[in-house]
Parts: sequence; C-alpha cells; structure tokens
Amino acid sequence: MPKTIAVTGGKGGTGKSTISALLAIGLSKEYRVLLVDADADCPNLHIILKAKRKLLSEVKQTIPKWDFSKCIKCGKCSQVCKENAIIFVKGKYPIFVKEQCIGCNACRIVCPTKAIGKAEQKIGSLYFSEISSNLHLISSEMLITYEETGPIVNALKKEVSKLEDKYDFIIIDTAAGTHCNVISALLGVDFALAVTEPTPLGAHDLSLILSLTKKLNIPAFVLLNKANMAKSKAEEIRSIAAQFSAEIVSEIPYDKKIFEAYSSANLEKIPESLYKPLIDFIKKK
Amino acid sequence: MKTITVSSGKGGVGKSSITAIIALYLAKKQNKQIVYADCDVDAPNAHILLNLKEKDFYEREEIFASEKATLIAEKCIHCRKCVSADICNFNAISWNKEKNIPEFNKYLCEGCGSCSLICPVNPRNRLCNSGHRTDSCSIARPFKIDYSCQIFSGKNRHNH
Repeated sequence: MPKTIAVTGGKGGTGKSTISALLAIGLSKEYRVLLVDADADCPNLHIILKAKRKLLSEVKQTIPKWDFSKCIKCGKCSQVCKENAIIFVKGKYPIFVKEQCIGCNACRIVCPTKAIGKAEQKIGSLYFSEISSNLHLISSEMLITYEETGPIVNALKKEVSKLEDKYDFIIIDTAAGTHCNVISALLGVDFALAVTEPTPLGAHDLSLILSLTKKLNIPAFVLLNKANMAKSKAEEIRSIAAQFSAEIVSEIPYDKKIFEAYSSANLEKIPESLYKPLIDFIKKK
Repeated sequence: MKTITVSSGKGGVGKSSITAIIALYLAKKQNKQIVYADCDVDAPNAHILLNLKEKDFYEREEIFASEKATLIAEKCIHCRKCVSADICNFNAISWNKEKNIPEFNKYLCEGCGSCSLICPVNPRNRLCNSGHRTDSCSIARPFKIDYSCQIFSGKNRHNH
C-alpha cells in the first residue's frame, strides 16, 4: 500500500501546488510517485510541471430523463427534489433544470409509473501525464458552469484507487478552502500537510483547515512557507500548530530564487536544500 | 446600487485585499454606503483585513441547510435496500456487517433523501433527514460597511 499525503492549507496562494510538485519530484528520485491534482476548479500542476495532459476519462453525472408517455403528472418527482431542479405545475409535465441537479436518485425512486429513466451529463475530465518514469500526474478539471467539484474529486479518487498498487507515494494537491471538494480529497489519506504563510489570513485559515482535519481524524502537519516574511506572524502560526498538536515539519523562507523558478515554471531551479527537510520528514513517516 | 464581484480562479492573488481597499476607499473617502459581502465561506478573511472584533458583529444568524441521513436503529429491518445499487450516488452509505445496519458518512451525504425514500418500513421516519447545521452567518457594521458571511469549518455545502 502506498503512503497517501494530502497537501492542503485553507488559504489560497500559500504554495500548495509548488510544495506538492517539489515533494513529488524529490520523492520520485527514489520512489514511484503519483501526484494528484484535486483542485478541479483551477488545476495548475500540469503547468508548474510543464506536462502534456492526455485525456484519461470524462466524469459524468447521472441525471433523470422523463418518458412523458408514462408520466401521469402527479408531481411527486418535484416534491422530493431538494435541489429544486424539477418544476411542476398542476396538469403539466415536469420541467427539468439540469444545472440544479446533483445527480441523486430521489425522483426516480418516487415515480409511481417508472416514467423517469437515466441520462448522463458531462461534469468534468480526468487527465494523465508522465512527468518521468517514476513520477506520474493525474489531474481533474471541472466543466465550467458546473457548480460542484466534490463529485469530480470523488471520481478522481476512484481512479487513483485503481492505480495505487503501482506507486509508493500518492501526493494529493487539494484546492484552497474547507469545502466538500477539499473534504473529498482529504478522506482516506494517511496524513495531511497544511501549507501556510505568516500572515493574519494564513493564520486564520490554518486554524480552519486544522479543525477540519481534526474532525476527520486525519493526522496533520504544518509547513510554514515564506517563513521569514513576518516574524511575529510566524510565531502565531507556531502557536496555532501547537494548539492543534500539529508538528511544524519544515519552514521554507521566502526566496527570490523560488519565486523566479515558480513564475517561469522551472521548478528544477529551486535549490534542493530548501525543501530537503520536508522530503526527509515524509520519507520517515 | 451597483454590485461588483471581485473574483479570480487562482488563490492568493489578492482578491480579499483588493476588495477591502475598494470598500474602504469608497466608504471613507467617498462617503458611500457599502454592503461588503465575504462570499468565501470556506475561509472568510474580510473581517481580519477590516480589523473586526467579536463585539463589532451586531447580528448573528445561524443557517440550517444540507440535511443528513441518520438511522433510527431500532426500526431497521436489515433489508439492505438503502445500500443497493442506484440509491445513494454519493457513496455515503456502507453496510456494517458486524452490527448488520447501514452506516452513513455525513461528509459524503448530500441529503438528497433517496435512502429514506427507498426504506420500506417507514420512509418518513426510519431514515430521517434530520436538520443539520452547516453554515453560520454573521453581520457587522464598521465604517458604514456591512459585512457578512462566516462559516464553521467541516461542513460540506455552502451554496445555500
């Protein structure tokens, strides 16, 4: 069984994707690594790693389809739909608003004449890239206009579970925030690495993500990125981490070299010494 | 009233800071009345940038949404209908073989009610969708800025 690590953090722009990529590159020198881009809204790892994405599969959602020849216009389907995706006017056939549908089965179950069958709608795509022989990337991307990324992350994780025997480490880069797509990404991982920065916002969102991992019973560790930017805030981050009994595994200073490497998508230019403590920590875990 | 949305795909580019600067400028320098809505309910930060404290919140409202399936164990007849195919599309129900009852993962449950509809004993009672607190909303009024939205972490729906 591979070790599965989620790289998360609450706040956006703290360096989750960069850290995920560096961690994956570092570990892939000795181990087989699968990097997972679970930020289905805005997947970026393929850009950071300059990878060509090959379409692996389309993520589809089951939606209802009415056979009006069987419909008795009872309106029950509309009554049970909690998403208000089915509009019913007495004496008329139900009207379906597919953008509102979350793909549950309530309307089909309740229909007394079995007038509701199934159809599919595309909600996203999964991609696969070979970065090197030891490092592979699987990424998800939501279809624009679709509202929920949770189902796409779930489909992604299902695909990952099919592949897991081939790897020693699975590194999941989550989206920012603490919403259902982040929860889906976190469920079942061995531990979470919360990447944060020494700002009031970083501190606030770190405590949110650490309370989430605590609720989910996932061991969490903290990586303080851009650590030298504000000393007093770095102290606050350390105290929040201590409050949640989350060990700070490494502190990475703000370094112009990192920023330049990041902004030109040349991660190989980042000195390994800056992130080696992190790699060593993960290897031991 | 003009409504402006400050948005961006990428995180950490400065959405909250820019929003705060625009709001403060309009409120303080232009003396405009402003409604400031922090819609980042996962990780709301506007109150930090505006230096708001607990006492600045003059109203607090809890939002109840996103019902969750719960089992009334004594009524369960162990028929397994709720775990059969085409019921829960969110993988939120698993069968506990030892206890011979279904188990619900509240983090995956979307509260659609499909399991409660298929339950043969008493669909309305047995697997009831109990009201479940997900979000909470707070409003404060500093510098003529109405500020809203706050969330408890660990809840999984926020588009209510």
